[in-house]
Amino acid sequence: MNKYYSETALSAERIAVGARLMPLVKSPTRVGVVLFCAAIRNFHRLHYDLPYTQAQNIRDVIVPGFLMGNWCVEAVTRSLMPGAEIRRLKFKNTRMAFVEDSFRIEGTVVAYDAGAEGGPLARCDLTVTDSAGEVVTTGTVDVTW
Amino acid sequence: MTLLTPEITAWVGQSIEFFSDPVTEGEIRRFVAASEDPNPAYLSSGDQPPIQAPPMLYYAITRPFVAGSEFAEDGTVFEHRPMIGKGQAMGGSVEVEWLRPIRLDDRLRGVRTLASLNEKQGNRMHFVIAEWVTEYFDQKEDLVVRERYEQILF
Repeated sequence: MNKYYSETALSAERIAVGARLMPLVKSPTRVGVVLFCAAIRNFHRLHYDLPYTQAQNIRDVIVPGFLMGNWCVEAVTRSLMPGAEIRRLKFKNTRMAFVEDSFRIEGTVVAYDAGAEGGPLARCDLTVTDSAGEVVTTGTVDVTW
Repeated sequence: MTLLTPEITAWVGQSIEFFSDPVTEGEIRRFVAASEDPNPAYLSSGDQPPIQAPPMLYYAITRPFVAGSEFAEDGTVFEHRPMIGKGQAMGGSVEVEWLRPIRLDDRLRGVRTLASLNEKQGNRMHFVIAEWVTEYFDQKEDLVVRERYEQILF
């Protein structure tokens, strides 16, 4: 299998409520965050302008929320067999996430309907946690394949 | 003092329409590189085009390209939104539903409606949460993405 996918990728036979997704670790750099801002055309200064950010009493530039939402999507697609299609993503950033920190994305299958219209449907709850152990983002992803 | 004047609350229920750039392999590759998510489904293989675009690409391709002079002081684009407080904006919670995957050559038409404005007092500031609901239609006018987005205005 392509190395993109987790060695323990959840197949249709193995997926079940309570199954854990393969954890994903991300360490966004300043350059990487600027690249992502350019890719999504979001140029909020909080993501790259340190003097501006510190003037807002924020200690360092922050990771865009949409990048953390995308990490939730990636954590799910890496943990499922090829062919996964994301149907729904809900996420909320609960704390500021700072560049050059390390983040762990973990998730669990919380619902599974093998007979859903349009194909099997799994719901995964996810958290993005920083190196201090604080949850910075919570998310829910619905996926079919 | 309330941030929600009658002039601002009159924005609730108003809609705007906007159009995306086409989904090209270049846009997909840019997003894949920037997100560091090289899902094989997003990448072409030989002469086979990508199976699907990254789901979150819908957001990128519908953002406007504007001149630097048209950006607000905080780096956000002065778009169709009520000017509240200092005119600054930050993202809040997001909920997106894809009725089908975004694919190469798709062109989207978005219709965004301001669903509500709610004033809040936080620890650090007084702000307003704007709830935007956006529907994205493809080139066949089929609904492909629904988005509910909270924006913090202050």
